[in-house]
Amino acid sequence: MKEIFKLLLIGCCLCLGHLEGFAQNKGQLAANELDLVREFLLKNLKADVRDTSMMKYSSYVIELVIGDSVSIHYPFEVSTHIAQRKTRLELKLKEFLIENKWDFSSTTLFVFPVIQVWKDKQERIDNLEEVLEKIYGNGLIYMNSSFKLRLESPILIKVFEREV
Amino acid sequence: MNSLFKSIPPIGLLLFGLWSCSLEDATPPLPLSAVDPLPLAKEFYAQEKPKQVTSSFRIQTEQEFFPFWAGAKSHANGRILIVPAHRKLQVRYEAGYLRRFVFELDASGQVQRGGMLELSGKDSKFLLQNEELLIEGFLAGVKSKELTYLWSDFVARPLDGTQADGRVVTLQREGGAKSRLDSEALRTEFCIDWYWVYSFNGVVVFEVYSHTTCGSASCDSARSANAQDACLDDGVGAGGDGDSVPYKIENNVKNPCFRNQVNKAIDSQFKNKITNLIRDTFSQSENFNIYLEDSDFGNDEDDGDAFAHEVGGNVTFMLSLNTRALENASQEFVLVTIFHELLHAYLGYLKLTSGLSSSQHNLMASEYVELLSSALMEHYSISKTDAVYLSWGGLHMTDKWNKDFNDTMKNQILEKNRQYKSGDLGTNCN
Repeated sequence: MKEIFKLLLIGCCLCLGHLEGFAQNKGQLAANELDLVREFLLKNLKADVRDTSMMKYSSYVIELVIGDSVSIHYPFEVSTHIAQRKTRLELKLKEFLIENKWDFSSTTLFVFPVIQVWKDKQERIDNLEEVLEKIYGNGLIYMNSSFKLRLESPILIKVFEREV
Repeated sequence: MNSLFKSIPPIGLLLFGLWSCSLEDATPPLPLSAVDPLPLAKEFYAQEKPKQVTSSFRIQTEQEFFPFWAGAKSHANGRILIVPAHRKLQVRYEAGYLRRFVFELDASGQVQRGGMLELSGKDSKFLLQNEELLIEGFLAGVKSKELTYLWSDFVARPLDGTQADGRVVTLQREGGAKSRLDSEALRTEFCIDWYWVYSFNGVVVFEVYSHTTCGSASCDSARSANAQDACLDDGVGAGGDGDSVPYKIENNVKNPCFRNQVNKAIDSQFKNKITNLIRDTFSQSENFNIYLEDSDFGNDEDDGDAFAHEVGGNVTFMLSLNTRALENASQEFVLVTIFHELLHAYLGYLKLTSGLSSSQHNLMASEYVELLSSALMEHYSISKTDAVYLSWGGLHMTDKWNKDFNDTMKNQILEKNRQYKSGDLGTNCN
């Protein structure tokens, strides 16, 4: 008899811990849900430091599909270095969303333009106009998206001088 | 009102607990409490282990685990025996982790089952503080949704990976060259990343990084079942585990040997000043991070480089190793290159936070060569002269270089660097 009570007690302890965590995070989720994805990218996006084009700006678009599955896509061409980091970034995103008790019941497509600017005191060609055209001139492709869609404001990555 | 509702579960739990505990007086003690479960568990282990398969890939790579009998704890009136596990390899865990040999006995003192239980999730402190509760719960089929459970036999062959939510977990490796899995390679240089892979109805639904194992001479005494000083998976890093690498210093280097050198350079077990500077600075600064990777720079002159980049107030020092330049380099050369780049990150941090203005290489040449050579000597049996010469790598354009050394001396230093970089001297890295 006592064993049954002890097991129930253990079960209660585990459930209580789980529910408390859920309750705390659920409250935060409502306020921060949309900020979470941006927060993740601000912490985890890395510069393409092997860009040798001598242009001042470069850009790409990153799509995050979050729902039944979590995946990252680059709708336009990106450098090899950015492409190589995709799998790791996906894994970290899944982990981050689970840690933050993300509600995966509906699917949302987040679209973030990413602009990289060199601040390294080298003489570089100012190509801002072309870069903006590249990321915003293609916005119509999302018109028929089957997911709930969020077109986000750009993320700016500043890269400073190289030390060898 | 909210607080009233929140207080109901703990109060209820307390009353329930008191009720449960009060039954202790009324229930006669089980006869098992008089039996010492330790010799019974030892006998069971000695009988069962030889029957179990020893060729699993996990055992080949992580090698064997042994019960640390001296640390055994009896629980539930002797019905459960919990024994810490030795291992041979250095391990870095991403989240909380605990491995225990667990033996369950029946009322007559017979061992009903025994095996290895791995618990992962939350943090190590939580797992340690609640280990008995969690293990007893697991044996009774009660699992937390916030933890991962894997029950295996004594040679790490999975027996039950079912989770609280019905998913089934296994531990799988990523990367590494299977053909090189001889024991010598494992002990000296081989690092493997392990992932928890979750399946549902046979379909993989999620995977997450768990830990990295690397060869370790310091944990090798675990080979003897009675060793007292082996590395224990006790969640607090005793004997070669060390606390996990801070998330803020992210090692994304692919080459296993280079990756191992990075792990060495930032491992808190090592007490050299550069490792301490880096860990102290970057573990505590909220918005400053280090990210390391390896790639082909397209030339074989630059051994590595460092960039700072800023995204939304988060500064990351991206340190890269040039796979082309370091293709044949010795471990000593790779490690000193990593220390050099880590110093760039540290000096970059000082520049951004305190306006440091002097050239980083000039500062390294005047202030950090001694620290670099000491750090290198902590890891390798290398002469002081060679360590100092290697520490001058990349500092050939500095004021101090030109001022302190004549041409003969400069050539000696450059030649020594060339020999370690080409692999003619030092420990092979490939």
